[in-house]
Amino acid sequence: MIRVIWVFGNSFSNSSWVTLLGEKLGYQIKNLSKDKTCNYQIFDDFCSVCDLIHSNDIVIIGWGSVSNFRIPINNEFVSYGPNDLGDEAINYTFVQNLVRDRSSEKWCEQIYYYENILDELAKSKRYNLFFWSSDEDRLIYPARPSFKAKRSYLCNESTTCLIKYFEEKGATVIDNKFDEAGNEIVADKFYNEINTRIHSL
Amino acid sequence: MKLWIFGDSFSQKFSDFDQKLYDPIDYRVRYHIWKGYSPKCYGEIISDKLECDLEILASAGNSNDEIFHSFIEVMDQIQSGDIVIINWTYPNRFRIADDNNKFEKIMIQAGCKSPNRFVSEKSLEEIGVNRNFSSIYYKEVANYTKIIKKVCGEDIFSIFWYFSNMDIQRKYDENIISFFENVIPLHEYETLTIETLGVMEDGHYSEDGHKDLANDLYKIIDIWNQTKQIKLQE
Repeated sequence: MIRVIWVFGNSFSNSSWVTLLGEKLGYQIKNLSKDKTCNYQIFDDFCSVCDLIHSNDIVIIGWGSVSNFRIPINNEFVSYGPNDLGDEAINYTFVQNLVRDRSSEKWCEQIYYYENILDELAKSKRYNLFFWSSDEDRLIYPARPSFKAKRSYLCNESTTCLIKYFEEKGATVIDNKFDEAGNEIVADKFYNEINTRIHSL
Repeated sequence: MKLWIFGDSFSQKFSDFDQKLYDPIDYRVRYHIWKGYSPKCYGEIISDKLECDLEILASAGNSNDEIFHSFIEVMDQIQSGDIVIINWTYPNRFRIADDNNKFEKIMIQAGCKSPNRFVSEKSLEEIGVNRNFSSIYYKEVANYTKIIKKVCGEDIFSIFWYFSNMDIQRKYDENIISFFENVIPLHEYETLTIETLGVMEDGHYSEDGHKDLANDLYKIIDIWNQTKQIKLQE
């Protein structure tokens, strides 16, 4: 059976490091990441295909900013966040209100709830699940090492979100994506961690 | 074996009110006064029939996000052979973080005061209206259902129900159709309004309503039990 790497995330996952990683590991890629998305959409995208994921597949979930949210426009979800405060299609005060509400730590906790059920499913279906966060400094990385050790967080030695972490290693971010060198750095780092993990099991 | 119930007020115990407060606005208190006692809810009736333990984690005013999270909170305690019943609620309910960093339930139909100084009442109303008119939230709940079913697997029986059959929308709206792929509409039961002949105007199910609902859910559980037995014999 062909093994698959399933990738869910925002523009930082909708990127060429995913293809490089697939080549290095010899896995087929199914990348369901989207530019301009939010964590609700990422979780939703996972749920909609969760019955297609097989044992020994790899799932990589890259969370984005907790400040982002989604609302329906013409009965389709559209994600908004602090960067959309000037968007003419949506009321400024409305976005500002919700973004401010989302400064509460409760919204980070919600992501950990998602991780709990994702982890539970991964254990029962026996596939490898990894999390990371591109641009949310409140999520995962500032947590205590004992907390981070509970799950498969990529680059868990980092204390900042991984954009900053990879920028320190030579990556550059242009239009919410890593540049070519950055994609290679990410692919190498993720390959080393994932390869070690799947061969240690 | 344990029966786990998640949902909103439709799944709560009638007796689950503050005895000291005895708040006459609470429909359970009004019903207690009207009947002279608090009857059993469907969860209690089914657990009596199955002679199993019961855990009701439903709470009045819960949004679907809260219902989903209440399942996640205890999913590691749910064991093989247990039964999970989830009643989904109106998608127009939601929650926001309050000024004390706690989630606050928002029910637009009940009128709402903002619990967060950053979120205006107008914004809450806009969210509620938006949620009322967008069936895409049913699709979101369809996905919650899908992942819960997947987590429960074959050894934990999961039943999902909703208190409306949305007859008209089901004919043309794909989001509603996907919602009802795994959710059973269980709605034609006696309400408090009917039982009390309008003394209480309340759409919650009455004592007989709960008995009938319990009976319908029990039939579904019984079929699952029989199928399980057949598989074991094979």
